[in-house]
Amino acid sequence: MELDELKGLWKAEDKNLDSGIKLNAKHLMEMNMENATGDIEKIIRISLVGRNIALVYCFISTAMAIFYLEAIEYSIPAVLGGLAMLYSFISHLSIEKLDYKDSIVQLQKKICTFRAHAAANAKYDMLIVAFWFITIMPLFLKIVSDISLYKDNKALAIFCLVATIVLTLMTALSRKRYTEYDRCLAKSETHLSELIEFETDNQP
Amino acid sequence: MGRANNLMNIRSKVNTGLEKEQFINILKDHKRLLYKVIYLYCRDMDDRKDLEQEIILQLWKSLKNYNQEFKLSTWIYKIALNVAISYYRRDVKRKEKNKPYDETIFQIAAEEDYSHDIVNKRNFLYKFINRLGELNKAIIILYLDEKSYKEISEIIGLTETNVATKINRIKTKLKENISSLNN
Repeated sequence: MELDELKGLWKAEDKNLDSGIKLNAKHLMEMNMENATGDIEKIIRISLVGRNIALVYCFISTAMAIFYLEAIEYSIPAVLGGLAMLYSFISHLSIEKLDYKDSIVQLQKKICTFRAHAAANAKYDMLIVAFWFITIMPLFLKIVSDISLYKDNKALAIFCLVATIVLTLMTALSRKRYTEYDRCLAKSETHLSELIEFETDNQP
Repeated sequence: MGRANNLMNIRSKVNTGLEKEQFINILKDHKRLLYKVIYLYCRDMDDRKDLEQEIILQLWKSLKNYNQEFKLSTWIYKIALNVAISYYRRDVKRKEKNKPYDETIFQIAAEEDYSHDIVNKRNFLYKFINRLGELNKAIIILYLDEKSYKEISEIIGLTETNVATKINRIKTKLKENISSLNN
């Protein structure tokens, strides 16, 4: 049998399907199509929101640092936290929405690149968020509750203890997730190289 | 021409209540194409319900930006194959997802309604196609549907030369597989 003979089978199948398939119009009418999104689109949308929130956090840190510029023990950590958030925002600039009108190879490459990017950056994102909280908290307490963390040994000790506990817990609980991120990264990179090979290999 | 006009109507009335019926008519016109893509990329019944919903949703959204440079069937193929391949490759564990609707959108007559010969031939056809990787599967679906190399290259995103090479390789693979399938 040749490939062209399969076309005959395909056409015969088309005839069978023509009479065999019924479209469930009632179900389609009931479907809410306006606001629904696919799985990968949801993940990308969340990532885009996260990226933009990082920029908001950067502005918050910068504004608070400017507010207390003269107290460098408060403002410098806040600026550093803001810079970390700015780095996070910039590192996620490559994330873009999917367009199903792209060619198959193009769209699959975008998805693989996004998955690899998300998996590679996930651990750093968590650390950046933790770092931001630690750097902004002294300034936040100073502005909101007038607590001078660096002048109050007891408050400073509590802050250091809480920060250490939070960081330790985060590291311990994230181990499993990190393994998952690494697995996802490796898988996405393999898919991406398969796609590139598929796209470029045209040797007979 | 009728389909194109139908689509023009959809585009112009995309934010009114009437377009859903027109959309359903387009789906009816392309039900075989959509059914085959869904069936060939997804064999599990629950997953299939999920996939057909995702394809329908993406078609609904994408039709708003339909580019008339493309034939409607080429456009629908591109969206359907893109969703199906993304679905096939995704990592999300099925059971963690919300349950899909109970009803299927494309309902097929029971297998017993077909003759033994038809069922055998269909099994052979699908078995061969399912042995291919997801990208070659897309190429062969389009080839069997008599799409030109130019259309296939536009949908897949390869050069025409590359498409021809891939099809030749699939032909060779078919020859190799025939004997094993017959056995």
